[in-house]
Amino acid sequence: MGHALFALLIQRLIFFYFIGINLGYFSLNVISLFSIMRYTRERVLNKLPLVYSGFELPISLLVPAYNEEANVSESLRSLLQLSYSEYEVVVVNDGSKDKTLEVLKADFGLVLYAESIPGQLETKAVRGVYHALEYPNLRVIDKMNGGKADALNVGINYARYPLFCSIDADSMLQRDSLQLLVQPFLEDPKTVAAGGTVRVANGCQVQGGFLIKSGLPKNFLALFQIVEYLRAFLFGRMGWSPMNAVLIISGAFGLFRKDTVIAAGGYRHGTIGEDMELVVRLHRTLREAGTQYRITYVPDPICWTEAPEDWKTLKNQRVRWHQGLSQSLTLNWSLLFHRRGGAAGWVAFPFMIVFEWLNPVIEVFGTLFMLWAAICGYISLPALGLFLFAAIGVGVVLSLNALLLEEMTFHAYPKMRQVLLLFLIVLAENFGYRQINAYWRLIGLWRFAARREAKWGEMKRTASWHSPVKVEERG
Amino acid sequence: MVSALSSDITLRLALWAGLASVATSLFLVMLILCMRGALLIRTRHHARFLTVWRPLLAECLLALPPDIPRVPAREAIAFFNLWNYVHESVRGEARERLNTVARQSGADALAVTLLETGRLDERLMAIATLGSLGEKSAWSALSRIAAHEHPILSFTAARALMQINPEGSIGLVISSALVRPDWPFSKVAALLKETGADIVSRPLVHALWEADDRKSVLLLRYMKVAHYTLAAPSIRKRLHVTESVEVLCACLSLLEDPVELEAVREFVRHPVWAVRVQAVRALGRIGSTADARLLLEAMGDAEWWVRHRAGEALALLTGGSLPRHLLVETPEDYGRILTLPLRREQSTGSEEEREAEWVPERLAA
Repeated sequence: MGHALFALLIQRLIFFYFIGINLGYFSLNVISLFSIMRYTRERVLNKLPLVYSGFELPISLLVPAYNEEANVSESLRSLLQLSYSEYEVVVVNDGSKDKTLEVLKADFGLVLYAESIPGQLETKAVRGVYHALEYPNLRVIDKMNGGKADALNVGINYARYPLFCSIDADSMLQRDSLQLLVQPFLEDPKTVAAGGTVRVANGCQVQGGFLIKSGLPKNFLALFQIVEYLRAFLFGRMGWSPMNAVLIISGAFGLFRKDTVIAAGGYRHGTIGEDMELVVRLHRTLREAGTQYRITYVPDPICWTEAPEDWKTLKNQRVRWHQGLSQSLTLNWSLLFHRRGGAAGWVAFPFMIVFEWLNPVIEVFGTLFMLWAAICGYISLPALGLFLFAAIGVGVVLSLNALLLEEMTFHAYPKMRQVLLLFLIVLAENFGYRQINAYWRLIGLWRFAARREAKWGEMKRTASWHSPVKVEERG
Repeated sequence: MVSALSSDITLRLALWAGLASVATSLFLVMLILCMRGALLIRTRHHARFLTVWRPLLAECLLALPPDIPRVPAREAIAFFNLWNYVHESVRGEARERLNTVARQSGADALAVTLLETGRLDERLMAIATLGSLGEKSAWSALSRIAAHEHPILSFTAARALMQINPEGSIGLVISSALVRPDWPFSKVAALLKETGADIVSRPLVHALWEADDRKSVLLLRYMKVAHYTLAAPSIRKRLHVTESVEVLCACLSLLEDPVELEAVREFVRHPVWAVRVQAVRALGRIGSTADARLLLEAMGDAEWWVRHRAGEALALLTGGSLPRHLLVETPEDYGRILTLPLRREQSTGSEEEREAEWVPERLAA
């Protein structure tokens, strides 16, 4: 009787959690739907040719690079061809062990150039500053290894312009991305940060550092991630944006007001998810200070990035992401239900704790519990089937909704058979992939709880638009 | 126990949730497929539309096409898109010919209709079209929309008014810009620049004479697009009468002649560092080599930005060749480096030699 009561209680708990999470996601979906419709209508004139007036806010693009000898030059060439009125590219070589610096020196004719900086953020020592004589808007900072956060802080110290955009060295921007991402800063001076959309580049064709044709990859793990990215950005971020409660701006593509970030202390050393931690900290510090601000998501500036195509790399990435999420939330606890916390502190932060941070615990142990209960006879097999039926069904609906948002807006995958393939992926991801993902995230949570030092695993990149290469990420 | 749990309401809810999900999923799949089908049909129609209109509008770059078809209402938005795109890309007589094509094809009437009845995107496109056309008959409707609470709608209408009659609408645009914080500064400034200094200078100066400090800051920022000779008297007056740091900074950032050189020199020692920054920058633009010592003094300022801008100003004043007796007095390493920008390009030595020349520690030694 005791076991049965326990089983009933747990079953109820799981069920109410299931209802809560899906109601939450459904609400975000609805908000996203209306926001995206409004956004696309308001921006109809953005497609017309733009004449730069000289009054646009200049931007410093910060590109932290660690062992990126294979990709860095091609990425840089595309960054140097972006269409924007005034911007600079600051590459920060974070003590690479490979020939990243040598490759840059050779490809861009770098010369050493001493430079004074305000040095507002403490960082590891800078070994040299290089200017490219042929590209006046390109500088390379060579520094001692200190991790991505440290590299970004060096970049902030050397940035000349009031806005900075962090970009991963292996990512590609669309030519008009900066022009679109800067709009919230122009329209609302309270804007302190804006994030764009990150999409999976696997399967796409690239020429001259720019994407010329989008496509779907053959690798099924990359296919699953395409649907995940659509969910994460089109309704994850878009849903929170109207409430000024976006807690995540991808480190691969985010634009920030430099003075606000410096005032908040820059990127935090030793964190894995330095991008999310910074955004949550900005919310916290600005809310605590009672400062009016906006942190927003803009759906149409797109950054293409490569998704892992093997289990090991994907696992490492997901474990790290969950460790990063754990750090971001726990380092900023005071935002939770802060009296000036607004939607960020009262809605997004608790939602993130319950439905993202603790989700793997419920998902993994919930699934195991249901199996145990079914085996022990506390619930019948048809009942187990019904729960799975509901869970998978709702998961499919949410993913399909992300596809609907994509269909309403960008049509990145133009062929009918691509749409049909994505339908299949939406269904297939529920049978194994999501469960494994939950297990990896649980590992991340465990490692965080056990205070295991965050490690960067080996990152295997196929870089199908470049030559295949395997590099080791920072340790 | 099994039956007790099976009959539980949670199971019934799970069943309904599952069934509802299946139904919703099927609906979403059908919806997406229908939307994709519609998109493919639209794409085909659009391709056909382009085969007619693209060569026709391209022909306008050289001459007016002899036969101009009517634009059907269902293709109005596609036409406005293409027409505006071409219109924004060309200048001179080609624009006049494009306007003629739009009028003869009936696009102007379609735009007027959409102005009142369309969705937000259709209205925006219609406003842009009427502005580019210089459609005077839409003046009153556009004036109404320029006061609309929606910032993008109202600003687009204001731009259209400026395109139709710049002299008649500049007052409205400036007064609206001063009271509408939701109109982006950069877009208003771009609009003023696009309209031209000949038209915007006097109204801006007139507004500045009457403005309080709060409005003056904004007007002074817009003043960058005005003729300096017209703006200078009002800038000078503000420089002497204002107590606002923001206004002072804005005035200093605009000074382009040495009339106020003495005042600028005094501001180099102002207690607020933001003013000192603008003062040393102004000195770089309007000062003489006699100001080198004052700038050297500023390079010992407690604030990095003042030191940095003083270094830049010194480089500007001396053309990168600071006299040696002053160079040795330079208080900080970077100051010396900033005053020597030409050496980098003139250097022909090996990388090691260049490094020896440029690494600050070695320079300091």
